[in-house]
Amino acid sequence: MKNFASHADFRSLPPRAKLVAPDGGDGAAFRFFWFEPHQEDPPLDHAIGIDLLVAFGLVLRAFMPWIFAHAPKLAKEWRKNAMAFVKSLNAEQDAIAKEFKAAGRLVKT
Amino acid sequence: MPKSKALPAKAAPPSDKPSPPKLITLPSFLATEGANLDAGLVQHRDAVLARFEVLNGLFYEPHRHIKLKREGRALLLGALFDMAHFQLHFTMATFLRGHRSEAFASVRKAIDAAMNAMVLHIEPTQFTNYKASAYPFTRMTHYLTRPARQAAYPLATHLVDIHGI
Repeated sequence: MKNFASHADFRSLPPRAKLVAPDGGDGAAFRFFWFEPHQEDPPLDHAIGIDLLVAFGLVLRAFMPWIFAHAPKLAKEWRKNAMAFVKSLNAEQDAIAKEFKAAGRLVKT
Repeated sequence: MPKSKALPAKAAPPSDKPSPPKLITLPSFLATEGANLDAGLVQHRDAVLARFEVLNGLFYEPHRHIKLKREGRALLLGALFDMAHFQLHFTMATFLRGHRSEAFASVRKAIDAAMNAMVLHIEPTQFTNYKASAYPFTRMTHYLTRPARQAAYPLATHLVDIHGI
């Protein structure tokens, strides 16, 4: 699973041992994270959006054995569509990761 | 008595004291959220939201075919599937409003639902432990990543990886 780092992510805050307010003490920078989130640059935002959908594709796959046990009529067509779609999401995620790496941007894997 | 002229306002001397933070009221918070949502809907309309709707349709379709029982494990599994579907919407709404960390928190809830459902579907006898809030439902990622269970739960490693993001 790739994870496109976001500076709005909680884990991008300073390490606990070095936790100091980045703006000299009035806390505005921290408030900015939570109360006034900003848009990321479009490629990073797009990458995070695809990341989220890939995760739900996997969640859907995890439910498939239960779905097929209870909805045999749903069967082949749905499964074919679902698997093809999940595969296309994964391919897009891989392509984005390659682009990011080529551009020297951080990608956690 | 002659009218006194107002003195020009003097600029406040620079202070070392940090300025008090601005109070963010609920209406102003919601206005920011709304503005971010509008921007997100435009920015992600083609690439992300179009794919979201496909995924949403795939989650919806089984609802038309599955008749849930009114109680017990069968009801719970249906509820877990519904919850995962709801989290798909909530994740996207949160992401569009600019809260990416919270979006991943919602993904974790959906993954928790999926992991619980996998175990309850493959090992029906675990329902007793679910009702008692006992292991493995207290440490699901630990349970699913044991080497002995990898054959029964091939997706577990991927789910646990994303859960850790």
